[in-house]
Amino acid sequence: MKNKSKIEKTIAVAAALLLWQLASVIIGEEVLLVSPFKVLVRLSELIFEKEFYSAVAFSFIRITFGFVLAVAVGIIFATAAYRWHWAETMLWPYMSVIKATPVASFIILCLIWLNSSSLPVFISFLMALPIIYTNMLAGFKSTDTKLLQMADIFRFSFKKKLVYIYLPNIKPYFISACSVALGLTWKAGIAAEIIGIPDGSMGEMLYNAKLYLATADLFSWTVTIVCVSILFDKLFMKLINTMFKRLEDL
Amino acid sequence: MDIIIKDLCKSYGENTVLDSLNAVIGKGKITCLMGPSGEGKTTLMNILMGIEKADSGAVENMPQNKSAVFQEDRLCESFSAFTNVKIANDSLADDTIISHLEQVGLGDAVYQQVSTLSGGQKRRVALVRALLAEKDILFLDEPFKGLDEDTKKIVTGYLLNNTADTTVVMVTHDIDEASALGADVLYLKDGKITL
Repeated sequence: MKNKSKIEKTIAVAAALLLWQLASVIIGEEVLLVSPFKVLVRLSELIFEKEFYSAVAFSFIRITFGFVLAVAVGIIFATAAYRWHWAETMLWPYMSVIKATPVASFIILCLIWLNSSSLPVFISFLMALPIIYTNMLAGFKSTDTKLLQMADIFRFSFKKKLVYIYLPNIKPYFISACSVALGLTWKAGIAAEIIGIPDGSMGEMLYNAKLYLATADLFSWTVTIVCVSILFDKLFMKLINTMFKRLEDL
Repeated sequence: MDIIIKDLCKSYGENTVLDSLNAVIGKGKITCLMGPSGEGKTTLMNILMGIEKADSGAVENMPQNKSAVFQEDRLCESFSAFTNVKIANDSLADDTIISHLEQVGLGDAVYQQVSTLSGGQKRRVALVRALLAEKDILFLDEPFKGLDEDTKKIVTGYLLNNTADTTVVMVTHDIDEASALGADVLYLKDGKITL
């Protein structure tokens, strides 16, 4: 079944690439739509350049740092909001504003407040924070009160309640929040880099590609961003699942 | 010392569930709360456990260390039967837990995730957990619910073997269960003890 799904997906990707190739042939203008083959050629050139890796590292470190920071702060805030109602009330306006404000507004504000190299960290953090916070709080709130009563009768310590009651309940909420937030942080982080143009970032590379109408570069960097984002998503999710599995094996 | 229940009252809106209820629960004895459905057996048990608060009245000499089989199993579903018992009492040796699970016919399910167990198996895990937890009083809310007759006999024997000198308060609808355990019976009707 799993193999069948993989084969189907491979066929779908191959069909999409073929469609892309056909479209580029029909249009016949590489500036407008470069062919996948040209992108592959340009990408194979880029990966031998030192700047390629430094740009990937630059963006990866900052976006990941922003995301991890959002996870940590989101968990702390959600725990506080679950524990104390006043904390939830006090956090509500911030979370509502962050959720509703267009990312471009934050990017422009951050450019005034911060230097451009800190921009992806802050934007990734802001995009992921309300998602992690909201989901974690929903997870805490959905904890079975009857199980908590049982824990009180059996005099469970806080650690026991956390490991055996809260974490298994929060798990699906946390995984879902991370999955959604990860994709969003990459999109917002790179968008912030394109506007802020920090030196040596993937966003700067994309901006330059646009500036010089280097469509093959634009597509190559986009492919790189998608690949790095998917890879990080998979690695992070594996890490989270391993962490929960270890807790369940305690 | 015996547990003394004095003038206990509990209402939910207009519905009076316990109406100046007075009773004595003997120390080291098994006491069964019986009566028709909706007459407040579980409410009384919840008040005794401290899960719910009475509107008025008092419960005297209630021990601190409590253990319980609830109306629902209330197990940590993503963990094994063994872990569910262990977390209620860390000082237990692994062999003791395994031996007790075997005594109630769960020898093959010791390390099985609770969510994969049947209703009757879960009930037995909940019972073993309650019996092996450190306790001065044990509350059992329909502990044999969902068990077939043969398993009920095994579990009744197990319960009797492991509750000597323990104060037990049990909710049941079945007089035979109370008789099999040699229990004192408190019959609830109209918010009072009538027997």
